[in-house]
Amino acid sequence: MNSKKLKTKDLIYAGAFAAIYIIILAIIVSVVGIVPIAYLMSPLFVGIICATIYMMYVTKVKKFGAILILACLFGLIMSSSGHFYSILGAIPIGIVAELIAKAGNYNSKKMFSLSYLVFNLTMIPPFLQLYLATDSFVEVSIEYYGQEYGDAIGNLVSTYGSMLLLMQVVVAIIGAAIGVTLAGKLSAKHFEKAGII
Amino acid sequence: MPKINFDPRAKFLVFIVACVFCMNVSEPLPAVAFGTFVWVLLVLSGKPRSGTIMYLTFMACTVWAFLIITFTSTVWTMPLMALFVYGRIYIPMIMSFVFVFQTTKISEFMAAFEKIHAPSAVIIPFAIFFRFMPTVQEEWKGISQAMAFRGIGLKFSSIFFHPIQTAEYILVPLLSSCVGVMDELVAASLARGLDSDKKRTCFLEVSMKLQDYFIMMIALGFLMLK
Amino acid sequence: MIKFTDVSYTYPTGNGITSVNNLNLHIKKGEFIVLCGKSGCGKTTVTRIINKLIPFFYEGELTGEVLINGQDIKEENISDMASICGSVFQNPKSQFFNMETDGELAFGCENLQLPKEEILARMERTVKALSLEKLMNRSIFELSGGEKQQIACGSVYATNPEIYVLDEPSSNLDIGAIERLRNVLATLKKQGKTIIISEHRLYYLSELADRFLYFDNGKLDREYTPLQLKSLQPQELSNLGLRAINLSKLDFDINAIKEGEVAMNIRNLLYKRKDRTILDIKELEISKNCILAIIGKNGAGKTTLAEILCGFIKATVSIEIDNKLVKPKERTIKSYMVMQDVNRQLFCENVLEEIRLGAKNSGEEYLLGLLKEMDLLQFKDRHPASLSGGQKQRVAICASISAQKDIAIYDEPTSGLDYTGMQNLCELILKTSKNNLLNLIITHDIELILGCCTHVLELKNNPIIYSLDKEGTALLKDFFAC
Repeated sequence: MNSKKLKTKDLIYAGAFAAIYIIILAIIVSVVGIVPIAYLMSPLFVGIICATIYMMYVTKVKKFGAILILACLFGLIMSSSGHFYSILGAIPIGIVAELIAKAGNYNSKKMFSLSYLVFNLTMIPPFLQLYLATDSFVEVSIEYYGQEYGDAIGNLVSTYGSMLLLMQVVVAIIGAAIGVTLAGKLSAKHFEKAGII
Repeated sequence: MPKINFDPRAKFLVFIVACVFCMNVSEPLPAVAFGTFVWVLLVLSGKPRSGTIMYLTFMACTVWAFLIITFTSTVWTMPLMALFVYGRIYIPMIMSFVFVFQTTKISEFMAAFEKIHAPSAVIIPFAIFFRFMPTVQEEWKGISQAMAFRGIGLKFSSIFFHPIQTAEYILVPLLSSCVGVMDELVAASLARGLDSDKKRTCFLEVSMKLQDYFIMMIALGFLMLK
Repeated sequence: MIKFTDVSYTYPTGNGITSVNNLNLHIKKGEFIVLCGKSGCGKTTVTRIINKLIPFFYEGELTGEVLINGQDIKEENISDMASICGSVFQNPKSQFFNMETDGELAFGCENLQLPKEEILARMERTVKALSLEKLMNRSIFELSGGEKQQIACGSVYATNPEIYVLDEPSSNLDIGAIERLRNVLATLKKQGKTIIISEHRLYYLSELADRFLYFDNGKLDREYTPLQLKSLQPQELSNLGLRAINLSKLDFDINAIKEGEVAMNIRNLLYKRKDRTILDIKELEISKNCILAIIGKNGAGKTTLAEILCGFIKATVSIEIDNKLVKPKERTIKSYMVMQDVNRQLFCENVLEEIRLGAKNSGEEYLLGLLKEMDLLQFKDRHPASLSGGQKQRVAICASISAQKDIAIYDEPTSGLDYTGMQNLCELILKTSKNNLLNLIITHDIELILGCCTHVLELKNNPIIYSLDKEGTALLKDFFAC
């Protein structure tokens, strides 16, 4: 009964867990996004909370492709809300996360945790729009907010852009690390006893 | 008003064009033209009410942004204008999102995907994703009610001071009860013959017709204008 | 047609307890079989073996031989079974794959790779045969439980299988929906289909069944014909853990309590949703110490009323408790609803912590004493989610007691409970009702109402509230058509 290939039931789990993951993510981002600067920190919060969902998913399916499907769904949905670069970033990130999990033979909690540290980087591409498409963003700003404001934004991003990006990556990894620790605790405390995992 | 059923693939293209277009075009006139295009599509697809509401909001944002910039562009009106500009950019994207996802049936999606030879490993999760979203919302609602009864409701103080505890109170019942639903859903799907290795048929006609090519051309036309 | 020879099965997390033990069974073509017995007796397991969910979905140890139409179930895939055997499950909410009704009707056929014209023809036949016209082209999420179950039956009907397997299909249905289900089953029987149905509620099957198979601890204990079962005394039935087979034979003689002071006063309740008036109650008085059953047809607003009382839904209403006006937020603090989905209300890692959460008095002695009273002391270190359904419910009720809530509301607490479970619940409610100001039970289980309720609130166009004296029980009998 234990084939290595993704079966129908695994695909259903994939879609369902993706739904939970993305809804929780959306709630976190909209709550955090109320404070403008905190919005940039959303990878941190998403990493902390969504790690549990991710870990439960991979432990339940334990097969090659599970992470990749989640990454694809993530990318598709994020791209649909306008963050176009999401799908481009999600696939390579998904592949790397998948390979890490595979290295642990889909049985090692450590490797699953490591793979999530990578997976949470999927939160970064949506922000890439700000860094890479700065020019057109600036163009729009200039047209509507006046030359000064547009220039100011342009300067800000070009000077500090790479730093902000680096900070976000670091924050995403830290969030993921905290998240998998939390996930491990919750799993031992609840899910294993309840027989879900 | 007769309902026209556009092919999911054509709808998807319109949606992609919408995303690219809206994020890259800053002049109001083309934006209005595109918005009107999507509004017409929504009305034709059987969503006149929500389509019109969104369109009117969109037009209101455009008009207000225009008025502010022409007459009173000061530092005070800037945040207000930012709001209107965002509305002007994002609403057509939302409208095209509705156009794709709320006027298409799951079986149509699956059939359209199959026609472009997408693997079932993509189709089934995609379909389940949408089907499961309302379920997650329902469970969330039930859990937040249960939390309110026990006095551990989602207040600002609980999120701020005991974030981990609150996360535990939400995640544990949410995941437990969702996994329960998932298992039942899998059982019911398998027992009715769903098999990722088998190619499914569809009770709806999924084929590209003249109207689909027409709207695709218009959408691409917008893109080329830019 | 279906033959079990020496079949045994253990679930993977079964703690080594065999769910089904050396079962030998023979079901002929066209028979209508009802599997009955106490909770956990193995009847659901048998249905899962027939539709091949065991061993293809529920991994575990299956020994013995099961032949369906001469073929061993272990050969071939589970998806090949779908054309021969159709399954309808207990929970209407979680068995549908699509979001719209017509897509769901076509689902099984699409899986069987039938051509488009054939699928459309079958869908039309299904709609006619099961009277589904009103449900077509709608979002499944908008439908009531009974309507969802109808679509589930339709989805299976369209695939035209020879065998129908139903697992407690009436669990979440009200009287009207059960009647419709009964009609569907009658149609299927006329068509010569083989029907296997695992059930607690037996009364709606008494005229349809050919044989009742009684299971006990995984073994097929005995067989009854409908006549034999109907001739059993109510006491004998309850000893077997079975629910009533004849509703009119139930004991309607209850001692109505004398009315106490008014506990809650609901005035001028008006609730509309999308231009449809759901609730319109001018005045409603509920007295202290009464245990009120809330009954009504689907969509009558039972759950809505409960949610308004708890302060979750905003409605125009003035509610007085003990003659003081109480605002929605305060009502939430004062009330506690034991929900149908108990999983949503269990938060902690063991039972003791669970009842400590939100408890007014979190002293160890008090809590342990409470657990002892509720017969839960042996579970104090167990994780709530690892308990059985009935035990979880008990924990949820215990938590409401430790929180010392004034208003206790139970939402369909007996769906899926056998006779013993229902009896225990009645005793529990009677015991704990003295601690509460108000006890409301939303239910369509007449045995529960007769077992512990003192009053009934019937929600309809002109809602009426009555106590269960002679006139009251006549009205109750009327509602349940027995």
